[in-house]
Amino acid sequence: MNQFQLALAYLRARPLNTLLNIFLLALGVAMIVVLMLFTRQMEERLQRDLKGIDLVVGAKGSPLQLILSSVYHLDIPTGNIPLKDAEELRKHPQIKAAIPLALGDSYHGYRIVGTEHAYPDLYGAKLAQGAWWQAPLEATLGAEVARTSKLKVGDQFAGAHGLGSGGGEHEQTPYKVVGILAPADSVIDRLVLTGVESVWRVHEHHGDQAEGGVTSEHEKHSAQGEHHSDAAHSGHAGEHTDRHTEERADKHADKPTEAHETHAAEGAAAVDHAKPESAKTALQNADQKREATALPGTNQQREITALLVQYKSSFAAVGLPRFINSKSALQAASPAMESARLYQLVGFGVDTLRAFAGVLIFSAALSVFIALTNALQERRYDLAVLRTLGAGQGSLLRLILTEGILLALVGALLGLVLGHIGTEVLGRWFEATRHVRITGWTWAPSELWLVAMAIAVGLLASIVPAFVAYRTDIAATLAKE
Amino acid sequence: MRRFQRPEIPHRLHPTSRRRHSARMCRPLCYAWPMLIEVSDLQHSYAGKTVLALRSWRVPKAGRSVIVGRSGSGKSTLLHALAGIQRPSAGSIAIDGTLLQALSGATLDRFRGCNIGIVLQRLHLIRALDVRKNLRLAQRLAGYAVDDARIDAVMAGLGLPDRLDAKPHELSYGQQQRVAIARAVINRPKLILADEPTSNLDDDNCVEAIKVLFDQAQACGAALVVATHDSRIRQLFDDQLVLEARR
Repeated sequence: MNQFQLALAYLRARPLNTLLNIFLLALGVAMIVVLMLFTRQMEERLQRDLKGIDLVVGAKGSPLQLILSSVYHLDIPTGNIPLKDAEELRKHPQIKAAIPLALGDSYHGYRIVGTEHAYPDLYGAKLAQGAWWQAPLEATLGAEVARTSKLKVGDQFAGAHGLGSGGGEHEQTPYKVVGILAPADSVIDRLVLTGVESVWRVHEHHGDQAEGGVTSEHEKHSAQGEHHSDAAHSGHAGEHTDRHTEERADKHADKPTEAHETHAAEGAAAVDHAKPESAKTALQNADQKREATALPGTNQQREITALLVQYKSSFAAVGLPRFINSKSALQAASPAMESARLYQLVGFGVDTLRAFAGVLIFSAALSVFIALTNALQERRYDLAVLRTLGAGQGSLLRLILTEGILLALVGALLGLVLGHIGTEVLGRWFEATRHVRITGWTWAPSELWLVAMAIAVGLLASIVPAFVAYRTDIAATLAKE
Repeated sequence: MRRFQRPEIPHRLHPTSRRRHSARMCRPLCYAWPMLIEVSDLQHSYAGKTVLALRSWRVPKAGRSVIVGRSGSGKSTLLHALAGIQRPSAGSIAIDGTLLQALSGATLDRFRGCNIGIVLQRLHLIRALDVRKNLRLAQRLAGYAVDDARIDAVMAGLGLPDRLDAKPHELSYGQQQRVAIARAVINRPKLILADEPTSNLDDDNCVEAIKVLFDQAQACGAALVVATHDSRIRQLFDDQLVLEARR
């Protein structure tokens, strides 16, 4: 029967009081753990999605919206930019590499991204099945898209306008699944990747079918916030369309024609993509391939949605954004700066919740203090008896401190468990509704500090009662019998 | 009323029975003197008022003494001073040759745990612990290792061998009192102090309680000092210290 066992026995002797104090403290700790794990994983996720992107160039509008739409694929784009402007910009001496993005459609809420193979390389994505897209209307699915849509290699699907499940279906121009990516734990998991020319093709075809309905369709896009190229909607048949026939894939594989040189080159690149590449080298490779794989269809009227840019040197950050912004049709947004703004915006809510959790922990500390003070009143004779049995003043001090620390420790540990379970439950709900994977089965080193803080709270809450116990006048207490 | 067998005490060392003690009986503390308690010129004041004054008092080893007096005569104060939980305003108390005033706080606590067993009027067993753990706690606080065999033996001697796992509130008052006595003797103290051990008991239980105290004191060779205003037990002790109420 040592001091720890005695403290434990006293706590167990008042089960309701003890459980209430533990639960109150656990609630505060759990709330902080949930916030900690959520913000940490979200920040990690956002940082991962930003990897290797120094600048995003898109249409004028909100820079934050541009980043959210082009990097995180969470928002609607600000508009489109002329392809020729993007092409000119790619030749800028301060740009090491640039990846075009053509956005507009989605499949079951997952965005269809017209881009180059350098884009998945940016995130180190690897194929789990099949191959990379080569010809127009071929698509490689992100892991989550494949999992939830249950599409397999060889299946066909039609995109829909916008990001929602509604909108006009492009049933006349279905995509064919040629590959499925392995999970990369980044934004690419929830994207449908295809060539830029596929996006043009879909909307050219759509324009042909709609004929006079272009304007109204465009309005629908605008209403959904998606901005497609006017050229794409005008139904023109450019050289890009001429180059690709329905049996493009087979021809492409056997004997690439002059018109298919582009895809042959990309096909060669696809072999490289199967190998692990760092995000840094991905953009460099993209740059090297640029000469051979210049954006298809350099038609004056064609547009893309955004360009992901990597600087040649950090000095480019000083002048390049200003240079781009000075061009009337283009806007340059720094992902780092806009992410910082985003953190600030989200951070306010997080800070509010954190403050609320702090209030809970303070309440728990107060509750522990009151409980120990009341217990001290109830146990004043016990303490006196302990002294008569040989316990020193220090023993009584340590006994009360042990009780306070025990309460705090158990509360903190329970809070950690509840916090992780809560994060997992919320994370699953979040994954189902927001397509963002948050797990509770991860450990943040700062949780150790949280335990230490909770113990400090228990210690602080029990210092006064412990000191009162220390100063107990046993003779006076026993004389009051 | 039943008479109890007194312990064998050499006549020449026997304290002056049924007489007031005087300061003349105190000897230098360095002597190998068979007195367990030696009180000299003891005085204790509270709020400017003297609540206890005792020139001299001695109790031999294994002696049986009773402190009697009305309420406010200082019985409990003297008992607390003997236990070292109350520092007297003046005078000295030596237990088995050790001057209590000379001991610092922690040493005094340890000395008390090892040498003095106390039975309080309201018993105050630790409600959160069962009987065995109450007794183990007494052993640990005195600095001894837990000795379950000793606990079993003492509880068997007190007629409660099967109540070791019971919580104090599950016991009758008489059983609780026996456990309190067990706690006082568990470390084989040299001195057992009992404060009003019979005040809440009827005649039969009063006799029984004193018998248990005498038996246990004898079993561990301890001196027994009982503070009481209960006239039923006064004649059971050879040595009586009568304290006058002070105004």
